[in-house]
Amino acid sequence: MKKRSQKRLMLIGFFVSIVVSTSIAFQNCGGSFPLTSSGLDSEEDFFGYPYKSAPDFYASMNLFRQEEAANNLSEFKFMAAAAPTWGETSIQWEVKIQTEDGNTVCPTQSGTLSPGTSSIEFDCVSLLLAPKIIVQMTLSSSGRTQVFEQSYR
Amino acid sequence: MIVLVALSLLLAPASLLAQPSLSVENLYDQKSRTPGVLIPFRLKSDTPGVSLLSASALPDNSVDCRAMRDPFLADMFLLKCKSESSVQLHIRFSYDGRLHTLNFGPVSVKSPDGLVLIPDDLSGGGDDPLALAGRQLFGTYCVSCHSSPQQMSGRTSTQIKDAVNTKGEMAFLKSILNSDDYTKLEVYLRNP
Repeated sequence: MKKRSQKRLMLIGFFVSIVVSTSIAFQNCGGSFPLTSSGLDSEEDFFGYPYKSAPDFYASMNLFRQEEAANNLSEFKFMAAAAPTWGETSIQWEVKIQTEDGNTVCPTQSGTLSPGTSSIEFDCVSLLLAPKIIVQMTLSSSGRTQVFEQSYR
Repeated sequence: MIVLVALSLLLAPASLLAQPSLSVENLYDQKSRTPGVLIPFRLKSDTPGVSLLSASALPDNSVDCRAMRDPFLADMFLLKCKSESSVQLHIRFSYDGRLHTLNFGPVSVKSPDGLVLIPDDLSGGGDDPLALAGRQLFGTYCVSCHSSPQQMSGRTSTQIKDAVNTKGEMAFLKSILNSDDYTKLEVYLRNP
């Protein structure tokens, strides 16, 4: 009788130990396993994801003006971020700022981003006041080239 | 009992306890991490079989900051914040047939000092003079806090005026904007 209850106790102990060890092993695992990606559908408006296919470069461009400056594109700071998507490598960049007719608003700027850096910035004092300007940034590296364009009024 | 626990731990397959070697690489330097910018990250792993499932900004993709997996690049995810924030990222990945999670951060998102964002032409508004004037107003007084005019789309002049009258941080606009200005902002925000 005593032996039987001892055996039962051992059996229970064994199962308890299995449960404990399994829960330790899976402590970082959640309950569900949704293999679907977080798609763009509901979030599209928030993110404004701009790429139509796998990009070679991630990039964003913005123009800023001083808080106290007039809001007429006569004087602004160009700020951009760029990074290659396939690994750490340097990027050659060129930025043209022109009117719709192709007249130069600011002298074309160019340079190289070394690996680990992503910021491009320069100041522009417009050579002419146009109602609309077009900012074009070309990124090149390892034989890949991508052009980003934005316009301002 | 202790012997049994130790034994079952020993018998557990090593793969159950193994964690893949992982790191998160921020592709943009601190200067580039500004509000409104899609900030890219890479989930790097030397261990084969690691697959990025999703990323979110804690707590739970808030109104101001959200993260998403890049739909084209399997190991990349992107963070976007509408305003200055310090945010934790919650990354979910699969490895060895199971779901794992990883927290990364804080990531600091900061506006350039003393500068005001100029909205680009994609911000719309068309050629309507009222919309153009509204866009100018938005660029002057609103964009420093509301970096994306699309997020404000559909706001009426009454709603904007109410916000100016009730929200402390917008109170300075009471003495600046007149009723025409509210109309211009409304017209612009119909299709920003």
